[in-house]
Amino acid sequence: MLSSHIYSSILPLPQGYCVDMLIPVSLISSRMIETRKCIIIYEYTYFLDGDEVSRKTFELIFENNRYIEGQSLSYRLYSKRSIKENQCGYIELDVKSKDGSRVFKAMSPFPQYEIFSNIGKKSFFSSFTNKTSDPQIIGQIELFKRFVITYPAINIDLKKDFSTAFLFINPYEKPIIIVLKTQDLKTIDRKKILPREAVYFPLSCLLSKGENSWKGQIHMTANNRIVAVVLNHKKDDMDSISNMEHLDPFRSDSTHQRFSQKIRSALRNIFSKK
Amino acid sequence: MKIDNKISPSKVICPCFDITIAHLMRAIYDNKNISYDEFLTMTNATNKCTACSLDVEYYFTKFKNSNLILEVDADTSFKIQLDNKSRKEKFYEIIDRFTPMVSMMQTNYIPIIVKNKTLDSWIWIANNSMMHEREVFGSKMDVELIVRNHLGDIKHKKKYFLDHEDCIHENVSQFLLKDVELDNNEILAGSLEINRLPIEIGVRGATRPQLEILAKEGSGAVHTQGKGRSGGGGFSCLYRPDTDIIFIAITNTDTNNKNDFSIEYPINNALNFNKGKDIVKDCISIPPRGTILHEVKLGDDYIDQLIHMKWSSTGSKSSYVFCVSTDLSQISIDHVT
Repeated sequence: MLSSHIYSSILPLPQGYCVDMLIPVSLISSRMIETRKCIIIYEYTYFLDGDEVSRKTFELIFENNRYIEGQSLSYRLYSKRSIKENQCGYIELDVKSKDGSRVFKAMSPFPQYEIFSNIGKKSFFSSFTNKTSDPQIIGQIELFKRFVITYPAINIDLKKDFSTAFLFINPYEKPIIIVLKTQDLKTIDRKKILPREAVYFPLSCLLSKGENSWKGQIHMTANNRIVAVVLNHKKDDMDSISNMEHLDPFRSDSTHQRFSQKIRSALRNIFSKK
Repeated sequence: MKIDNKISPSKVICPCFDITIAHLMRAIYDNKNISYDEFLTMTNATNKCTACSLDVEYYFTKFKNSNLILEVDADTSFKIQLDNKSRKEKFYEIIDRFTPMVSMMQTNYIPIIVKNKTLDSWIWIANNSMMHEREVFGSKMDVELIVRNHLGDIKHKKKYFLDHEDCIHENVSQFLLKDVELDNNEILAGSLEINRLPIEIGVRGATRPQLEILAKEGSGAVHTQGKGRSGGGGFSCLYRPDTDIIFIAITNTDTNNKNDFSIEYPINNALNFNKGKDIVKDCISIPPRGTILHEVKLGDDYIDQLIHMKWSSTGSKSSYVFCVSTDLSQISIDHVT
């Protein structure tokens, strides 16, 4: 199936950071069918506090699957401070052919790291994630009829000066209600994320009075799918992030396969090496 | 031609706006380029109570990725026909019906690092039920952890049984320190091999392993991956030696053969900056199952510049990037190709 666009994708932009986003022209051309000339629109839209703040559009010209010309192939965007407590912004990426012609052989977002940095802060990397049509989520809904994402390695240790927060992004039109549950059955019920908002959720709330540390797994469900990342940050400074990582869907992939499938797969591996 | 009788065209998928499967099919059939967002805008679907959001997205993707043929039908207006399987696929489907189910072993590799009292690597493998409700689980599995040093020598090997609601949480980098005198400033690298063999037919659930690297003021974590193929890869970063140290970690996943890993940077396709000056070209031979840690170092001219790297290897490998603050107090880890 050919398509005129790549699925929209989402990247958080935490407060206190700028992001250098790279336009992966070689990945774009590898996704395209051969065309004499084609203009690809590569567009970043920055949302903060429920509103669109800025938009940057690149027009990239490809000819015979080779990138010919366009503007600079990277774009730096500085975060703006949210007027709301515990919020930041996010970026939505849209990629499509300018004339609507169906030039893309696959529609999933490009596997590409963007670079987060600021003066005096360690860099970290993260990639755009599907706004819709994530095959793992589709498979999950098909089998379980339910949206559940998980994180297995929450580690809060106030003595070591590090803590963890979730960052929830609702890039959709309606509010999303989320429910979190830990493996020791602590429940955080019905937190509401408004449309076009990115909300921090510090997990230090899991600590009981007098506790300094908490380790374990958290599962999360919602009335709609939601984009979520986990941030490892300094204890008292949410703007000093060590690492940003996506959550993982509760996987519906089968643990077994037919013996004949296994044989085919082994043969494919042997022949692909030759 | 296969007619999918399980999906009724008259099935309502968005009750608030009375949108049926047939409406969705029609929209995709009439406009093959329609995006999911455009469909929602056009029909208002999911836009009131939102309860149907996931179902609508599921059907949209299913039909968008199929060859749709609509036929006028007296009863339901449309008959839905899905025919996106080739003859070969149909043949395999028949064959598959007559062979038994076998368990799929999953093998992951990930580099691990350790530094005296500063950096530690921990593995997490959890098998919690969905939303901890004890109803839907990932399969029970046998898990084997193998820790190797940078030369590929086994330093630790242990088997575990991962039951429902179980969690394996182990400091795997401690084994690298066995029989080693570590200089205070030295970072020691090795690798972790994780073999998971499900022992009951089921789903993977939440069992994906996660490696966590603990530093003093900020940890980093990433899920583990299967081995990558030989050939090329690359990565881009800002060169900020006052703030960051970037390490490329490569594990040779081949048991018998060495892996020649070549790396070159900066490859500045976006900048005509210092073209050809101080380019790093390195070729390192990695012993079977061994691991190397390459620190990205350039001249001062490149400070604060965007640096593109490319590399290639002669054999299969596992590739990750560590980004560490210069005082080693914060760390992040990401997998790369």
